[in-house]
Amino acid sequence: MASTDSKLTYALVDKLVLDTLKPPTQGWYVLFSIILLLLGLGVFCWTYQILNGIGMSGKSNPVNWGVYITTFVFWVGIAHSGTLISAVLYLFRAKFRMPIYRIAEAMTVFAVLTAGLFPIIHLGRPWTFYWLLPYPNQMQLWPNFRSPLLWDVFAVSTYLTISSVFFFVGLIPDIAAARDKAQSKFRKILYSVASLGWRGDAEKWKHYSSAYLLFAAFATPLVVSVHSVVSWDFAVSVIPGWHATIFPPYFVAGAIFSGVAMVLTLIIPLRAVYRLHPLVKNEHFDAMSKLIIVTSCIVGYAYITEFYIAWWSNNKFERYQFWFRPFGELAVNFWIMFVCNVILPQFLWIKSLRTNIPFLFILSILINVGMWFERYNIILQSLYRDYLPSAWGHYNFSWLELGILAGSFGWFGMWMLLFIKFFPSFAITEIKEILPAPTRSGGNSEHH
Amino acid sequence: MIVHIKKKDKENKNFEGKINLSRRDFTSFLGGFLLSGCADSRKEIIYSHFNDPENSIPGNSVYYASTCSECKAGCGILAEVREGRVIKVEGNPDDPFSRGGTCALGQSTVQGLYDPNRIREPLERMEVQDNFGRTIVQFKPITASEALSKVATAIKNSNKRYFICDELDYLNQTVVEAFCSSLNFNLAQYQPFNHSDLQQAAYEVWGIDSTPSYDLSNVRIVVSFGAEFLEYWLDPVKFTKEWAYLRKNGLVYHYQFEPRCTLTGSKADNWIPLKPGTEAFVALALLKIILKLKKNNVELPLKLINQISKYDEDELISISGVKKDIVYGLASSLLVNTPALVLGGGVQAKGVNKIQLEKICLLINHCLGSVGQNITADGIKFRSNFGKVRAFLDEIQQKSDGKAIILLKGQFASWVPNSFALTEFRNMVKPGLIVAFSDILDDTAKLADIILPLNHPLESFSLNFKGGKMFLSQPVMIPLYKTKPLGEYLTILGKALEAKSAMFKVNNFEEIFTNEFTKFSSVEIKKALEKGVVDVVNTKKTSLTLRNDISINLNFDEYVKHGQKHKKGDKEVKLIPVGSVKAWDGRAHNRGWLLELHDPISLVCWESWVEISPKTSKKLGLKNRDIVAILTNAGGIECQVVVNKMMMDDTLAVPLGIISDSSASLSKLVKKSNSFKIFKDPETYEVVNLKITKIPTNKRGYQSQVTKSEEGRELIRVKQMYPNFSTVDHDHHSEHHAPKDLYNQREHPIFKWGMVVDLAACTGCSACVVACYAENNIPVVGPRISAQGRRMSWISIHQYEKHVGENKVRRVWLPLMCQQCNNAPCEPVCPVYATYHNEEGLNAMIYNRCVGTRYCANNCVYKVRRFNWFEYEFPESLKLQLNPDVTKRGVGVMEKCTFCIQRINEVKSRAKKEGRLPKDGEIKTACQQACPADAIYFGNLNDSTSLVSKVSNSDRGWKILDEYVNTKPSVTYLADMFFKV
Repeated sequence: MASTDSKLTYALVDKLVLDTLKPPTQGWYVLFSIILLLLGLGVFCWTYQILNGIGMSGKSNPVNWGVYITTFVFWVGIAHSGTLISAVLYLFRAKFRMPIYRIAEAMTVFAVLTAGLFPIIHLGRPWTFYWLLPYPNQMQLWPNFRSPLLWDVFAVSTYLTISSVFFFVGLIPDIAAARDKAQSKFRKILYSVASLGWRGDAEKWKHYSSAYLLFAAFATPLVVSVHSVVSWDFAVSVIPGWHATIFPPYFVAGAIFSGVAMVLTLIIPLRAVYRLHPLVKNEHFDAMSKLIIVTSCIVGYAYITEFYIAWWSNNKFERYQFWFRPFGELAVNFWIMFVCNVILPQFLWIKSLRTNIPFLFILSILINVGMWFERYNIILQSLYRDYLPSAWGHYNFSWLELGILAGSFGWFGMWMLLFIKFFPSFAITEIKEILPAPTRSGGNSEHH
Repeated sequence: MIVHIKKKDKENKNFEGKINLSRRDFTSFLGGFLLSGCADSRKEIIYSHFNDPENSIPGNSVYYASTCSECKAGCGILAEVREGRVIKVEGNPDDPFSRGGTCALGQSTVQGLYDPNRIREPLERMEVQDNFGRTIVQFKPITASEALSKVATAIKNSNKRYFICDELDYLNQTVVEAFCSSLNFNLAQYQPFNHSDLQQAAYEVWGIDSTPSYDLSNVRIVVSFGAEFLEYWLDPVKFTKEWAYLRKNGLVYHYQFEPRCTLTGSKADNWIPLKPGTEAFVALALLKIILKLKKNNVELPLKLINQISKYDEDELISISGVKKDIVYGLASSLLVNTPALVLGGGVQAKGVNKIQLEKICLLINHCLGSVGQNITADGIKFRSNFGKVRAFLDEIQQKSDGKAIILLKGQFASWVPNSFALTEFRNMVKPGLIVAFSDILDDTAKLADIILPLNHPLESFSLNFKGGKMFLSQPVMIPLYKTKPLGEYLTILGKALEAKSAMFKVNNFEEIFTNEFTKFSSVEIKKALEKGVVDVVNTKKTSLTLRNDISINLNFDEYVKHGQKHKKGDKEVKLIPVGSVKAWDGRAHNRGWLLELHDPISLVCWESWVEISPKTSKKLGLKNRDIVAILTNAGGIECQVVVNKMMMDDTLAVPLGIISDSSASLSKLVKKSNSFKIFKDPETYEVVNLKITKIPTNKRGYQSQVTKSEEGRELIRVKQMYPNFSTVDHDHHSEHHAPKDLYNQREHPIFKWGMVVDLAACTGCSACVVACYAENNIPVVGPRISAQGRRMSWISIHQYEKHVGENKVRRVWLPLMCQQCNNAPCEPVCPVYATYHNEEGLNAMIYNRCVGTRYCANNCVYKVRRFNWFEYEFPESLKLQLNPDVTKRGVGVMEKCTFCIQRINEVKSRAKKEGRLPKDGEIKTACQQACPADAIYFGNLNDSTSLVSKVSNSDRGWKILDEYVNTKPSVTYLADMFFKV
């Protein structure tokens, strides 16, 4: 293949990827400790909040949602691009997905794990969260199937199930590869169990590839559905700035946008630390940058459409809301969002910047800051100024919420770091698929 | 299981202290232990009566008639008693004046009874040294007999005797007067919100020694010079009742002259701002113009007419800054529209000319022929005389040799300006023995050597007179603590000291009550107590005839000075006091309901504020919610700025009565900004050396609304009308047509509960808000959480400033509660069905089912849902007030108004027992019942004959936001209206 480095051999792929599983270095431990500290902070804050009441967060009467729902939507958004990259691009046979999809899938699963916590953290009585599930009970109480929050429960749990299964199925051949190379007894057992007895014979491959295709087909609609459902949390309501039909596509585009940025944020340091330059190459960054430009433009278009429609609707409440966003009390938040999500990604039209790794790294972080603020804007701005001016109010930002937000990164980071050390974070088999077949002269003696 | 093990033990003969437990038993035990660990460790005790109180059926309320003692108006009340404890007060419909109405202060009276700061037994002051050698003041409980004997000895040994007291009801007043006269006590009484000036004026005009009583029930025009007769002026509930009836029927024009628009002013058809303190000038000009129009053909003494004719009406009017033609126009319409009433006074008008103002107003009424018809002699008596109190305090400070005895009742530590150094009484001078009578342990009580705790009025007998009727108070429950009524202490002391008065030749205080009662009534006392109000027998009708020696002497000094300065272009900023329905004079400063209530005008709760007009605030460089310091020659306060469009320029208005009492459990949380302390003389409220400076701080004050404007949205409707209800058209409402529905509306077979709120009648008095707190166990959250926008009030008074016509702003009060929408946005979004629509059209809440997603509150377009952000604990004593029909909500649960569903159910089940349907008007919601203006109607909308259905079809009716969001509320608002004059 033209895009593949001719020096990259099957053996090298194995070595590069399986080297990531070697015992952790000091640096890993330092990072892991920081991550655990963040997680600890989050756990402390949540415990404190449960003991003292949800009022420890900054919400008030008109602004009943805040950082938690923002963070929930943020993580669901992050979770998006994993499935997009692995399933959708798989179906479209886009080759550039090969080296990055594993990390994107891991990110998806862990981001959903993180996102799923937030609706519970946000509850006034978190100990009753299971009342949202339609479990049979003596009182014959059922949840309200008309509520978008219930749809959320199904959307997120479905997404978690499908993406974990898809993730795991994709891992099987690679775990088998790791098993073959494993040294310690623990890892041997772990990989033997997890690889489900994979032997790599033709029959297994046959079943495997059709199963993988099936899961990819299953997962693809979820890319659209999950974030559409999450967007209905807002779109189904009657609040100006929320009640908009544009929300599902707008949210899906935003989710892919933030997800791709997050993949960049994760893969750049990983590549640097494990010297994976032969695997993840400039052309991959170039492709992802293009994806970012596209989604950024869609998101920017959605922002502008919102303003246009607010004006066009001639609805006083909508018009006020969209005047308030860029010029009101919370204008800073709006402009952070707008600059990070719409203005900055435009630099990627310059070809050299698309492969400029430091630039991409910083940009990817800024995009996620912007995307977090996008949700923060939608939630706060609309609740600040809805229908009755006499009932308008404000949000009292609380440090505890920031602690829990930091904790969510700790939680996500913990899974991510453990994953990198325990499972191959790059798809060995799929990368090999796109390598030229080994020849005698090439010295590729190892078959798989 | 335990039996089984015992059996095993018996069988096991080798049992020697070894635990012989099978695996199964072990796991059973383990499970048991685990379960026992899950037990709720909190103690739950259910008390029950050994002997049920009279008439008490558990679960049913008993109502006792009594009289409210919060202000001198003394409206009839019904105390709702459940299982021997009062849980709510309601207006007594048998009271011919208040007719079942109440005010915010009256509604809060039960919180006074259960105040956590109530003194539980007599206390004696002790000064002890702590470990560091500092002196600490402690109060040690002593028995009542011990305390009283100490007081009696002190009285015997004293050379000077003072009794400084606030306003009292008739019965206690009689005892106090008898006590003072027979034991040589110098008596001085004072309460900041008094009407002694009106009484003084009435004395100077007619020679009567009480305030006159006013009857608004048939007037065509009311002119008020500062009198806030819908808030706290004289008899506000009665006036509101009468005024609201007239208003709804288009029968009254209402003019209000005052520098800063009060609630009363905002309801006026014509609110006319004037310079502070110039009410008397305009009133005099009005009088003179009327005399002119009548060609002096009036019954005023000639000398007086001559005196008045010396004043130049145009000059008088020009001092005030009022437009001339307004006064001339008013004078001519007063002559046409009779009966007419002119009222004067009020907190803002308490300047040097206050008595003159009252006199002029009474004289105008004379000229209009209202005296004798709408003004009669049998009003309320006031004894307030600050001059006397001041003289006593000076005397004690200067001459006392430590042998004086001072009896103290009232909140003088808060009411008296700093210059009297009352709080340093003990340290600076030797005043002698101070004895305080008080129901709560506040700063004043803490000045005393001995504190004698008083009964709450709901625990004691009393009598009051008003308008030819006698109002009875009775104990509606057994006293909570070891307390006695004031009269009883004095009776005991009087008897012990062998006072000469015949008053004390009785066995006890109750006997005095019966004696006094039988003096005035021939009704059997039990019957009278059942009713609460009885006619007074053998009263002579005092006719109001003018005295010959009436003279009017206006004090021009200040205004001449002011006028000169004015010419130089140097506009002096003037500080005036104003009142607030949430505070009055601070007499109820420790009641959470009132503290948490926002003042409807300033929108501030829990703290004090200063109101400034937009122009002046710009001049002073101040913005809304800035924190400022106000300094005067008497003292200083720190408070937030409230920019108020509806007030005179170059005026600062501070509310009296927002008191921070460092000894009281709740009002100590209020920021220290007691406005009484910045006025040197509470008789004139004059201020010199006024300075207002912005405090450089990031902190901003909290107001319950971000804006008072509609922000260009057509939400609130106001109609200007001719008295025959034909509209003067400047109602710009384009008719929106409600969108079509996709689904059929749900049917409500029998009941469809609905409410109508008449904004034209609503005065913003906030009685409904307090009543709702009382009825529905709504927690008080405190200043910090309030400022985060987390107050729990289910109904709240929203304020809108609506532009009507050229440069005219009209304030509209919008009492906003859950609208019980038929297309409720909150219902579909709840994931657990905690909120749903019931078959009677109510948007019901299942608190137990709520998980706290708060989506419903977000989606509520009215923002009337309230969330329990924390577990709000009620102080122990206040728990007794909780309504057993309503659950207390825990942390993380959404709550809101459901039209007092407990009351609906109570009446429904009673009706069912009797085999009928509830009658129209049988169910009253708490807010409706409290409303003095009858602005709230409630009933079954399915019944086309019900009052609520009829009223909701009014031309003025509209449903707020319905045209935009199609929520189909069950609450109809009737547009505010004012009449073209």
